[in-house]
Amino acid sequence: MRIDDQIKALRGDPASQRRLHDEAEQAAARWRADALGGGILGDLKAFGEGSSLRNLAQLSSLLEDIHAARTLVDGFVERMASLLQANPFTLIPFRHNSSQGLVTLQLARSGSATLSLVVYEELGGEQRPSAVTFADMDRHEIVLRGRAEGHFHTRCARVGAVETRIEPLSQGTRLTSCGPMQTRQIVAVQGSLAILQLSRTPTAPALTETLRLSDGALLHQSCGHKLTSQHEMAIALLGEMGRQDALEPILAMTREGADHLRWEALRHALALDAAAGFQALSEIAALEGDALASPAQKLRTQLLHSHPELAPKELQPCPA
Amino acid sequence: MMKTPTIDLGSLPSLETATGLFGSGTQSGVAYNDAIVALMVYVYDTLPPDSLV
Repeated sequence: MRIDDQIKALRGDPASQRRLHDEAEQAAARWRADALGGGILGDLKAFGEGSSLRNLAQLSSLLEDIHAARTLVDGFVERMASLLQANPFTLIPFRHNSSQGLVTLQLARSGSATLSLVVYEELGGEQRPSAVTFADMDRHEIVLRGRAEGHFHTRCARVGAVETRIEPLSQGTRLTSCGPMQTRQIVAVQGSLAILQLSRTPTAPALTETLRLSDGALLHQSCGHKLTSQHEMAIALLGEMGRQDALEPILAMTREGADHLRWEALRHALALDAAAGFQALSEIAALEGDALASPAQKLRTQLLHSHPELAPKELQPCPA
Repeated sequence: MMKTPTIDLGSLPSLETATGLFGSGTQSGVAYNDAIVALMVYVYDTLPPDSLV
C-alpha cells in the first residue's frame, strides 16, 4: 500500500494532528458565533422545541431571503475552504454524509431541529421516480443554486392515492413539506442543485412509508423513531443471548410503545420465559381496542395447542 | 411442579406487516436517498498505540 509522504508525516506526529484538529474546531466555533450567533441559534432551539417558523424572525428570513441564505452559506464555504487550502488534511468538524448523487452537511443542530446544506448532483440517464418515501418530518428549504424539478407529493386520506404537483426549481425557490402526509422529491437536476434545509422531526414520529407512485401501493414501511429501533435491536440481542435478567424490561416493553416493538418484545419474552411471556400475551389478547389484541389471540390459541401445559399458568395469581 | 416449556423464537410469528428498523427502506424507484436525515458520528482515537504501552 502506498502512503503519501504528507500523511505518513502526520501519522507519526500526534501533536500536528491535534493542532490541525484544534484549528478546525476553533474555525468552526468562530463561524458559528459570527454567522449563527445573532439570533439564528436561538431561533433554531425554539424551532426544535416546537415553535412555528412564522414566529422566528431570524430563522424564517434565512429560509425566505435568498441573499441572507447565500451570505450564510458563502461565508461558511469561504472559511472552510481557506482551512483546507492551508492544510488539505484538515477534517472539517461538521457532520456530513454522502450517498449516490447526494451530499449533506449539517451546519447546526438543536434538539430535533437541524440546519443543513444539501447538494444534489445530476445522476445522468432518465431518473424518473416510480416510488416516494413519506417520513414524518417538517422541512423548510430554499434553493441556493442550480436547476431541477420539484415533485411535491401529498397522500390523500383514502389509502392508495398520491397527488403530485411538479414545479421548476431555481435559485430562490422555497420548498415546504410538513408532516407524514407530504414530501418532495428532487428530480432532473441539471449539473448540481444546492439547498439550505431546515428540518425537524416530532418527538414520536409516525412510520416512514414508501409508496408506489402509480397506484399508491405500500412498498416498504420502517420505524420513524430512532430510539424505538434502538430498543428493538437491544431486545433482539439480549433475547438471542438468553439474558434472563433482561426479562423484566422486555416484559415492560410489551405494554407500551410502538406496536411492532411491543410485538417483538412479546416474542422474545416468550422465548426467554414461556410462562411470563404467556402471561403478557394473555393480557394483550384481552385488551379491547388494542391493535395487537387480534394477533395475540391468534398466537395464544396456537401456543395452547402446541404447548397445552401453558394453560394453567395464566390461572395462577400474578406475583406482582 | 409443572415443567415450563421452551418456545423457539423462530416458531413465533412476526406481525403481518413487517416494520423495518429506522432508516431502512427500499431505494428502488427512488433516485436520491434523502427521505431520512441521519448522520453517523465517527469517533477517532488520536492516541497512537505506542503511547498506550
